Amino acid sequence: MRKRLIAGITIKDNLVVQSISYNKYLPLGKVEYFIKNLNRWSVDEILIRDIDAYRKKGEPNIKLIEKIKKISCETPIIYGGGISNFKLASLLFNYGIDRILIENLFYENPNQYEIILNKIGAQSIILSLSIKNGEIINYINKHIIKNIFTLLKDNLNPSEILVNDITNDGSYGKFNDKNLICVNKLKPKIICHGGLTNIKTLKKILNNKNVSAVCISNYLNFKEHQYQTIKNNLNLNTLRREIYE
Amino acid sequence: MSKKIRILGYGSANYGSIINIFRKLDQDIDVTENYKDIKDCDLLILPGVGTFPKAINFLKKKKIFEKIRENIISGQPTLGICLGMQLLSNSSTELGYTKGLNLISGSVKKIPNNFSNIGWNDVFNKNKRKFGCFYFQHSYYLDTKNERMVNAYFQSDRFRIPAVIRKKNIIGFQFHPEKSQKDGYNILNSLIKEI
Repeated sequence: MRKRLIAGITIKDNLVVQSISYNKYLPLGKVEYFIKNLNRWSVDEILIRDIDAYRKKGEPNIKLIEKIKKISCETPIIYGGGISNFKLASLLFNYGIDRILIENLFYENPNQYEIILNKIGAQSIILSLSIKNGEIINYINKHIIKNIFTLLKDNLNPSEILVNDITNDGSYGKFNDKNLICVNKLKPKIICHGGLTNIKTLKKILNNKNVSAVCISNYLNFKEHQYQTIKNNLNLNTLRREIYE
Repeated sequence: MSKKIRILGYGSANYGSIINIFRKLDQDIDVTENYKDIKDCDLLILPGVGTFPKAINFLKKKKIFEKIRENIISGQPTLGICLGMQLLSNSSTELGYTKGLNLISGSVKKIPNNFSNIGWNDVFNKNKRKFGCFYFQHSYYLDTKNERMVNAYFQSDRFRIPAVIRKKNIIGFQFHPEKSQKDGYNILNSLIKEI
């Protein structure tokens, strides 16, 4: 079973942005170009997070997804943002999205989360947990979630959990190790995201048996062939080798 | 020459990705629930994504379950992808017991320890030679005693999962070739040349 290096892109106002702690955004360019490039680089998976839909409680940006659909992308795509019911989730799959990322719905409408899980299958569902200094928080109302083990009963387990370090998002190599402690007894495998740039830290996290993948976003945009360079520098047998076009 | 390929529509599935890759291969591809369209095509695709009972119930509700089964028995080239491959089996225990199309022997069971097989895995043929690296996304697998129809498999530390099954006109991939980049493109290209 190979671990994955996921390429993440954050979308705000229909553009890919560099996000810094989710309160400062620098525009980077059109989504289509990013998807085309990441597909050309043969990244393991692409994670698209639409923070407009996420924060404004809107629906997924179908116009944008239609544009993505037209790109012949042979790389698996995960989409997160505004998925509030089965109908929307189903629509995304028909548009060629392979897996979906859910956060707010899990807290606000657990019944609908369960319906999606049962109809789509756990393999296509990733639960995103916002974590601040080792504590899970509901990003919308800022409440600390102390009962994740009660909320996440066995029958509600997704395939993976995205541990999103919201404090260190966009930072240089500051992913907080404590974030893994609060989820390490959960059954699904973990994807880590937020401030992951340092090769030593990436290696340490990828060697954790509960971690199945890491997601890198801003750091990919600093240099040409950055994705391949990171994989090459990691030099881990557990990862698929980097591919140059 | 372009082949007429039809994806059997049963609700939520990744039609978009399958359509894109077959168009890249210059094929005439579309999604259909219409039996006449299915009957006339060169290759029928049962796509992945979703759950076993939901897909079977959909086929029964549309009254095409038996027709499709008979068509495949009569020799229609058929490709099952992920869940699509599993639907061809005898039965599944996903969300309760459900009978399948009963065209390949074996039953679909949950991967032990609540494990979801997500990501890229090396697939090996019977001679233990690497067949390619493909993208998997499943929590259930085909448990079969008919080793002869298993052309390639994925081996983890704890279990072995049939990755490619072959029986006469039926081929099944547990992985998603449409999302497996170059290796996926190559395997579908070979399949088209064969039909």
